[in-house]
Amino acid sequence: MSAVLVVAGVAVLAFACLGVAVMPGALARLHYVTVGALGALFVAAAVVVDNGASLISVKAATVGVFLAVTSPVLSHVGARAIHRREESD
Amino acid sequence: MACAAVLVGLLVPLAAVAALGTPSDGLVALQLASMIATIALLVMSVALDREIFGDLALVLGVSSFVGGLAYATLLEREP
Repeated sequence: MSAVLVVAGVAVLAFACLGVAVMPGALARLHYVTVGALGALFVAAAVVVDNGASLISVKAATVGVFLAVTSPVLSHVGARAIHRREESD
Repeated sequence: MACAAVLVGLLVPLAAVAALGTPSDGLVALQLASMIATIALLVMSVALDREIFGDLALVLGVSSFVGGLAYATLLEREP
């Protein structure tokens, strides 16, 4: 189960990385950062499943939830900054 | 450990985007790279059985969030 979650998480992160590398324009690339948060959540879930109730599971859950919560915030702030910068150019 | 190696390898194209693209592209690449580095540290913590890397992942996650906000604010202000 944890192996499936790790592979899925790394695959989603690789997809997000490919999107950022290939897509034209910063705003189009920014969409893939939020996709990457899903992969991070998968990998954190894999660590929790693999280790059960332990300190590293708590850390993994904290990291996963933190990344999932802050990623949309960062995307919004980044999109606003890019939009205003493009407007002023 | 192989997954950690793959995750570290994913940082290379993001570094290329940040180095060769515009500052806006750099912001996007930085956000995804910091997320991947955080997860790579978490995976290394389990693979090497060293819980200190888990603490590093936590600190990196928080500091990269603050760094991303600072980068975006400076990008917005720059004429």
